[in-house]
Amino acid sequence: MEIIDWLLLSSTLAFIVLYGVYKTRGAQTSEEYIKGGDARWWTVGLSVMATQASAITFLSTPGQAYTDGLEFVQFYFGLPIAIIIICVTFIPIYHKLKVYTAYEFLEKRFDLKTRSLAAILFLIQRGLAAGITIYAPAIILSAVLDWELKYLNIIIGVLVIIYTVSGGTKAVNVTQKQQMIVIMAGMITAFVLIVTQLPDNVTFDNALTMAGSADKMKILDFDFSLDDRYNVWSALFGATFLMLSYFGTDQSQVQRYLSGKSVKQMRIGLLFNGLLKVPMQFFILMVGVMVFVFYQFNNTPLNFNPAAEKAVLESEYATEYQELQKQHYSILAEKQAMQRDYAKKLNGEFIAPEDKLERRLEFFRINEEYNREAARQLIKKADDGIETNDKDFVFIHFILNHLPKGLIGLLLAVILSAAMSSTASELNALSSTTAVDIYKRFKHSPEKDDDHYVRMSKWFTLMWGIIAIGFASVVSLFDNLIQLVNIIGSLFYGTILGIFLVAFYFKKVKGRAIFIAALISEAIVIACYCVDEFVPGVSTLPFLWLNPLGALLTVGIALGLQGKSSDPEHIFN
Amino acid sequence: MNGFQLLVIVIVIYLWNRFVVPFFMAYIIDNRLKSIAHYSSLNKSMYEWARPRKQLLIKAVQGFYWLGLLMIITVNLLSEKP
Repeated sequence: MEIIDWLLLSSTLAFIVLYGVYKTRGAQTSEEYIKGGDARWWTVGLSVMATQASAITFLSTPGQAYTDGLEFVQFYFGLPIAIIIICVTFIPIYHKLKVYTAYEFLEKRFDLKTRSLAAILFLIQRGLAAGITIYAPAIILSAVLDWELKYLNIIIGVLVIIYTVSGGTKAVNVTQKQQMIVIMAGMITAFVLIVTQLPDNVTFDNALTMAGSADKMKILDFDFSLDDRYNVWSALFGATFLMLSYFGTDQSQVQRYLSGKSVKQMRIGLLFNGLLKVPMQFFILMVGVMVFVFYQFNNTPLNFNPAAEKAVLESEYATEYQELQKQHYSILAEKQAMQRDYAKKLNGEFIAPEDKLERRLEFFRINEEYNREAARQLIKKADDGIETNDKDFVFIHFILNHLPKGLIGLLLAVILSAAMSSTASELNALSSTTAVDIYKRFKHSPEKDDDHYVRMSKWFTLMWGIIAIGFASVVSLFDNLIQLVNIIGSLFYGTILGIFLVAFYFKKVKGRAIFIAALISEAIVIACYCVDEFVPGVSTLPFLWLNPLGALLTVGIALGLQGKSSDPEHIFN
Repeated sequence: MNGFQLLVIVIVIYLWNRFVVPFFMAYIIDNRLKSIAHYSSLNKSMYEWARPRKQLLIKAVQGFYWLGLLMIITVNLLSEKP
């Protein structure tokens, strides 16, 4: 990193923090602090988008496309369906009841224990996710830049805590607009630079064909397989439930649109997000695909995680690893020569027998992957605790090694801005839920004025910030970071969504039935996941299917348990 | 949402539908990039079904975005209850 990169990085982050504090200075009422005032549709839309787009999105998604192609975009196909349902059903009721949190509605509809259960489930899963949101970029940046992990966790956490404690929801909303601008500007610049750095005879069209020949352009997978995490069916059913739960019942998202000025502003903001999310995700994946094409003509390390390479090279397996590296670079040299011929063939400058080049390229790619797997096994032997799966390191490796000075700082600002935007929403939501659903509900007394609740909300934000930093310091890296967040969400979202679906659509079900149903279905969902993960040879359901399972079990058991009940129609009239 | 904002959104969706959707849909549906012999029978038959209907499918995806725009306009026109 050069001075200009440091300048760009620190000035961008400092500007965002100071802007957030400045725009929300002065005394605030608890309504302003928690609800955030009267946001217009573009603020709502950008804020919803920035909350979902964490640093993991920008580090992990291009790496996902680099290895598995565009198929991850299927995960977002359920989002527009979920958004429409939320606009029609959830928003008018939340707005009519003037709730501060989504769980407040549950007490009005059922009872206190159901509200508390949903709030606690949210606090557990979002509290864990907030730690991962900080940890994910920190572990990657610390590995590649050789920065101390614990200091990075603290820096990201503290920057977010400063403006989130100071300005509450409004500060989160106003900073997220700036963060989205930085993020999109950085990603578009990166995309343009990758394409311009391809060899002269590789046009964008050729690049897509090359990516396609390596099966990176396959978006749709119609095979119904419970072993496959991403296919059209898991997207349309599993992901729709996940998105419905995330956008409809997760306070970190609900709080974003509850800050809207009116039902109309909230709906337009969410529809705007529903329309843009798939293209945005597609674009980020395309960045990963272009990085893949770029590396067809340039050398890659045997493992993208520098900490893993360092560990193995300092171990007794160093000689074996160096041998693998030698083979790796010889495969790359042959593959690159063949890719150049392939580019000539695509331009009509080189005649090769039908499919022969493609088949030989496939052969080299298989060899390369075989070599990489052997390297991963060696790394595992050298240090069992180190992450061998290097998907999350691909994009940052490209940024640091192939982008010009200045842009490295901009791209690091993108990653840290994204980390800050989603962490801020999470801390803000955790604090609101603790203040409104737990503290105010159980410790309310007439002597406590509005200032007291604003002060307590600030303390809760600080408390959750410290917990998130603490969790970020102890969590270990998982298969793929973006999946870890979705897995944690899927363990709890189904049950929470089930509670809300019963609340909205099954008016005769009472509090006791839904409470028992939620406890039983949560136990079943966790048991399914544990069996799948920890019992060798037994496979139950991939994580996306846990969402419909939890929701349908909750609805089914609640309906089964429910006898005749008093009619809670009054809140819907 | 004022007229200018609406105009910007209409232009963006028009450009998206006019250039990006047909270009990428052609790649996805043709899947000219790799022999579909590698695919499972279900995937293979879906791609084979889609190829002769490419134009129709492109129109369907474009329609999805126009429909989204229509929903935004409709919500915008709905009068707000006090």
